[in-house]
Amino acid sequence: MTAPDSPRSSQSPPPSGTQGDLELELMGLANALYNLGTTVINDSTKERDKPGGGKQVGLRVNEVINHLGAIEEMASTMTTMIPMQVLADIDNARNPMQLTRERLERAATENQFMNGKIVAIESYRNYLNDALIQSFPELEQAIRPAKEES
Amino acid sequence: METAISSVPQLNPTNGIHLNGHDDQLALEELERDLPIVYDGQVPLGEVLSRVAQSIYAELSELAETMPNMSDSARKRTLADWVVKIKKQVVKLYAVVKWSRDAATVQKCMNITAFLMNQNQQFEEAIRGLNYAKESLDPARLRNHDLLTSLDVLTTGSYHGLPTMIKKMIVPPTPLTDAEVVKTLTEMEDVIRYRLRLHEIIPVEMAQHRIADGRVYFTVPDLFEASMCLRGGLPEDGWFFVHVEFFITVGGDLTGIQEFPRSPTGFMKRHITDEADNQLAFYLPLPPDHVLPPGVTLPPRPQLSEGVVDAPLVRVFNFLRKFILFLALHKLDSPSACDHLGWADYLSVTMSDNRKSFSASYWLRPAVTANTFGRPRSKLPLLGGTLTISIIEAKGKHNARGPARSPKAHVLAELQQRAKLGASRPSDEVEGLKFEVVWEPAKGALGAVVTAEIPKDFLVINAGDLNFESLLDKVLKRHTHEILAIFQYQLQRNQPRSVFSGPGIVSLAVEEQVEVLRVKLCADEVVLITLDSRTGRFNLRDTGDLTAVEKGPRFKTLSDKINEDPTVLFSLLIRLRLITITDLADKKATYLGLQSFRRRNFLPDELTKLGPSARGALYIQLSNFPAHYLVLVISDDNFRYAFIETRVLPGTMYGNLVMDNLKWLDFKRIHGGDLTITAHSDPTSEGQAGFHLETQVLRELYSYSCALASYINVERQFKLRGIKFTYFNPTLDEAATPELAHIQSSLARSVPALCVEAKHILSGAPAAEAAMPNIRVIPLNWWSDKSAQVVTCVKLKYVQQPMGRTAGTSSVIRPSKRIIYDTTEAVVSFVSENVNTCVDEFLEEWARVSKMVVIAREVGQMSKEKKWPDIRLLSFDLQTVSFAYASDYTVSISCEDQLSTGGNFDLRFSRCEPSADSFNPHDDAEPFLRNILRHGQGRLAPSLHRLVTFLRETLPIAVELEEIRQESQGTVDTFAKAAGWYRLLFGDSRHALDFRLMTKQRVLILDGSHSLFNTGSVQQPEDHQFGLRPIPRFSEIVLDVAKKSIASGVAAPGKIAPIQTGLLCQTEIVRTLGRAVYTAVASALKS
Repeated sequence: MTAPDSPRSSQSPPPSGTQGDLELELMGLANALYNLGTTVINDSTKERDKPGGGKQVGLRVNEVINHLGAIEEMASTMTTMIPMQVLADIDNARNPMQLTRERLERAATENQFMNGKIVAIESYRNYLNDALIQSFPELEQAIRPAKEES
Repeated sequence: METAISSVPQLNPTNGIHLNGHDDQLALEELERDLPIVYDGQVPLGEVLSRVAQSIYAELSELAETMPNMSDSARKRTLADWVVKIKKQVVKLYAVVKWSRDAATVQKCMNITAFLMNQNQQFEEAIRGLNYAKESLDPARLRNHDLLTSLDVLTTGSYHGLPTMIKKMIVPPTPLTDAEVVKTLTEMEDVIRYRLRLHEIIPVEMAQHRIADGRVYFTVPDLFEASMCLRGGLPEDGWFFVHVEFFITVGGDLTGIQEFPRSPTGFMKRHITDEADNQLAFYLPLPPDHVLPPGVTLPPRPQLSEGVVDAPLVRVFNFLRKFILFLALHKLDSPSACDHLGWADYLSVTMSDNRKSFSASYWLRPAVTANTFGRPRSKLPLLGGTLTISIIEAKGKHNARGPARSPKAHVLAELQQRAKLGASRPSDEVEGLKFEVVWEPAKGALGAVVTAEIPKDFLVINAGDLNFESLLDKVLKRHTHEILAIFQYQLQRNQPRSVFSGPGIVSLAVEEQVEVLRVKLCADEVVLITLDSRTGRFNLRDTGDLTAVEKGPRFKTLSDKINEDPTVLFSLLIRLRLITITDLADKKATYLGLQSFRRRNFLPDELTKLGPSARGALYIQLSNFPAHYLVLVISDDNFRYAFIETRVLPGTMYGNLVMDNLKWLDFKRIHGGDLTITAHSDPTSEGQAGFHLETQVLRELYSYSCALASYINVERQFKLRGIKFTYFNPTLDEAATPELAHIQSSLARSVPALCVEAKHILSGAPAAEAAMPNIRVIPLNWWSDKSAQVVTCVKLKYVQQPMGRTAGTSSVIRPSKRIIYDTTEAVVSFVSENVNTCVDEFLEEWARVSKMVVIAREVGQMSKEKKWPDIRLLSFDLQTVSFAYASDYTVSISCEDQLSTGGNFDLRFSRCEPSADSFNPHDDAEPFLRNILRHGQGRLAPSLHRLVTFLRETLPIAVELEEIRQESQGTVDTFAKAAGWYRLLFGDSRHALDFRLMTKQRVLILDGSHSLFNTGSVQQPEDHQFGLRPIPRFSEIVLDVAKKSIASGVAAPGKIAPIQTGLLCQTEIVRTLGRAVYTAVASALKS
C-alpha cells in the first residue's frame, strides 16, 4: 500500500495543500471560538461594565468571522465528496474510520469473489471449447485462435 | 455469448493479484479512468463547509442584532452558550475534514466495487445466456412432426395407420353372454370328466372329487380342497390351478388360527398358485406365445422317458400335502404358541434343521449350581421329557414305491393305473407323508424312571386338527400319573417295613381334576403331593383345613427341597410325619395348659435311653416339679410314654441335662380296670398311623407323672433318713365315693400307697407310743394345678374323743390347717404343703399332736386312778388340752415349736364355771410351771402327774395370797418366785413373807429375808441396806400364831410346827395360817 493517498494515522500532521490548509483553518476557527468564549467568561466574572470589555469581545468575534471567511473561501475550491454516512457517524459519536475500513474490505471481497468467478468461467470456457471442438470439428478454427490467445 | 467470454481476459489485470503493481503508471491511470464513478450517498465536502460557515456567520449576525437588548449578564451567557454550541459543530466539522483525507481512497474503493458488481452482473447474464442456450437446445432435438398421420387425420378425419395392438388394448372385447359362458363351462366340464375318467392318474387319497363350474374340485379329508381346470380341450393341454382351501387347524389358541387362514390369500396364494402350476406343467412344452425376454435362454424342458406317462395330479397332490404339513408344523414353532400360556420357562421348543420335525422339551429345570457341600448331587436330568412331532414318509409294505395304504386303496390304485395307463408307468408316485408323534420321557426325570410303555392309540395326531397343546397336555398328565404311581410304589414297597406301607396310608386320588398322592401321616393329618403338570414341580400341601396357615411356609420349604432332589421324598415324608405328630401332641399339651418342649438340652447319649425305636419326643414339664418331665416318645407306630427326672450335668457349659429315673408308663396298666378309659386307649384300633392322642389320656398321664414325681420326692426324704418304706396296692374293689371322685383324680386308685412303719419314722420322737405301727403317706393334689401336698396318716393307739368347743359335732375335725382328725377311725392326717419337706413337717406336727394325745389320756385317767374327782377334761382337739385341776381352776396346755426349741409347752390358766371370769392366780407362776412338763421330756405321763400334783398343792397358797393382795389395796404385793415359792412383799418393800411348798404336802411360811441355805445367820438390819430386812420379832409372831391356831382348834397339833424362822404346816390349813401370820406381821410392822 504505497499509494500516496492511502489512509494515514489520525495523529499525522496535516498534509500540505488545500486539505492541510482547511484543517488548519478549522483548528483556528475552533481556537478563535475558544478565545471568544474565554473572553466572555472573563469579562462576566471580573471586569463588569468595563468600557474596554466590549471592544475585546468584538475583536474576538472578528477573528471568528475572519476564519469563517477563510473557510468559506476554501470550501468553494473543495471537490472532495464525502459519504453522508460519515456525517451521521460523527453526529452519533461513532468512529468514521469504521466506514473507511468497511468500504475497503467490501472492495477487497468483491475483488476476490470476482476473481474466483473469472477462474471458474475460464475453466468452463476451456471445457466448452474442447467439447465444441470435439462435437463440431469444423468449428475448431473459430475456437482455436481464442484458445491460443488466452 | 462470445462477448462475455472474450471480455474476461481483458479484466484480468485488475483482478489478478499477480498482475497488480506490475503495470506502468500510465496504464494504471488509464485503467482507473475506466472505472465508473459512484457518488451514491455522497455529498461534496465544500458544500458542507460552506453551509456550516454560512450558518455560523448567520447566527453570529443574529446575535449581534439581538444582544444589545439584553442585559449584560444575559448577553454574556448567551454568547458563551453559543460559543460552546458552535465550537462543537466546528470540532465535528474538523473531524469530517480530517476524515476527508481518506475520502479519495474510499471513493476509489467504491468505484472499484461498483465496477466489480457490474462485472458480476455481466457474468450472471452470461450464465443465464448459456442456460438459455441449453434450454432451447431440447426442442431442437425433437423429431419432425408426424406429418403423415396429421395428413391422414386432417384429410380423412380418422386414424388408419395405428397398430392394432392399441386398439385391442383400449377397446374392451364384447363380453360373452351368460349362455355362452355356461356352454363353454359345460363343455369344459365334459372334457375334464373325460380326461379324469380315462387318462389322468388320480391319487387314491384325492380320489374324492366333483366337477362343477367348469373345473374339478378335489377333496382330501382333513387336509384340503383344491380345484383345477384344463387349459383347453386338446389332449396335450395341461391343467392349471384355481384355488385351495385348507381344512387344517393348528393349536388350541386363537392366535394360531388367525395366522393360519383356511383360504390362503395374497402372497401365500400367489406362491401356491405359481408352484402348483409349475408342478402341473412340469412336463408340458412351453406355450407357443410365451415370449422370452431378450438375452434369456431357458434350460431345456425336462422330458418324459419312454413308457412313462405324465401324472400331474399326483405331483400337485404331493406338493399340496407337503406344503400343508410343513406349514402346520411351522406354525407350531411360532413363539406365541407356548409363551402366552406362561410355559416359556418350563418348555423349550426346537425345530430341527431340516424343518421336518418339531420337538418340545418340558419340565425344564435350571441347572443346579455346584452346591456348597461339595457332595455330588444325584444327577437328575434337566428336563422331564420330550415330545416330538415330525413329518415322515410312510412307506408301504407291499410296494417299495408308493405310500402306505389300506389294502383297498392299494387295489384301487393298481386298478386305476392298469386301466388308464396299461403297461406304462406314471411319472410320479404319491409320497406318503404324515405326522408322527414320539414321546420320550427322560430317564430318571424327577427321580422316577418312567418306562415309556405307551399304548398305540395313545398319541394319535390328527393332521386336520393339529393341537399340540392338547397333545402335550395328554402326555404330561400321563407322565405325572406315572411318576406319582412310582412314588406310591416306592413309599409302600421299597422299605422292608415302612410306616407308609400300610393299606390306605398312601393312595392316588383325583382331586379337582389333578392327580394327588394322598399320604396319611397320622390320625387326621393328610398331606397331598401333587405334581404340577405345567412346571413339573412337586407341591406339598395340607388337606386345607383352617390350621394350615402356619404350616404353609413349612410345606413350601419341603416342596422346594423335593424339587431340588425328588429322591429325598421318602425321608422328607418321614420327617414331616414326625413333625406333624409332634405338632399334634404339642397342641394337645397346649390345650391342657401344659408346658411342652420339642427338645431339651440332653446329651446325645441320653436320648438313646428312650429306646431304639424312638424317632422323636415331646417333653412335657411337670409344673410342680420342673425337673421332671412326661416324655411322649414317638416311635414308628405309636406313642410311648416315659417319665423322666432330669438333672443338670454340673460343669457343662450349656447346662446339659441328664435323664434319671426313667420309667415307662404303660397305658393299659395305668388304667387298670377302669372300663370307660380303656375303651379309648386301645392304640391298635386306630391302625398303624394311630397317633390318636386323646386329651383325657394325656391329662391322666400327666397327672400320673405328677404323682410319680411326688412319690419320688417323698421316697427320697425317707431314703435320706434311712427310713424303710414299702408300697402296697390299694384295694381295687374299694368303691370310689362320689364326693371324693370329683376332687380326686380318677387315677387316684391306680396309684399305689406308701407305707412306713412307725417304729422307723417315729424313732426318737416323743410319744411314739401313741401311734399304731403302720403309717401311710399319700401325696395329694398332683392331679390339679394346686401345689402338691402330702398327707401322712397315723392311726392313734389311744382313742380319745375330742371335746370342747373346737371339737364340733362332725366325726372329722380339723383343729388346724395341717391336721385332720377322723374321730371314728382315730386316724390323724397331717397335711404338708411342701412335698420336699413333708417328712419334717410330719414329725413336727406329730410331736405336738402325740403329746396332746398323751396328756389328754393321762388327764382322763387321773380322776379315776388317783381319786381326784375334781380333775376333769374340759376340751381336747389334738392341739390343746384343757382341764380343771381343782374345783374351777383350769389349765389349757398346748405345744409350740416342738422341733426347734425341744418341746416347749404353753400353759394358760383360767377359771371355769361358776366363776369363769375370775383370775386364776396360777397364771403368775406359768413360766415356772411349764418347766415341770418340759423337764419330763421323753416321759410325759409322769411329768404331767407332777404338774397336776404341784398345781393342786400350791393352789391354796396362791389363792390366799391373791386374796390378801386384793384386800390390802396395793399395800401388799404378792408374786411367785419359783414353781413352789410365793412371796408376799409388804408395802415398805423391806419386809416379806415367803411361802414355800415342801414335800408331803407341807408348806413353810418364813421370813422373806431368811435364806434357806445359810441357816442360823440372821443378817443385821443395819447392814441390810438394799435387801429385805428381817421381820422384827418374827419368831415370836410365828409362835404366837401357832399357839392361837392350836388354841382355836384351826390346826391340829401335829399339823403345825413353828420353827425358829418360820412356820411349817399342812397345805390344808395354809390359808388360815398364812392369813394369821400375815395379819400378825402386818400389825407388828405397823406398830
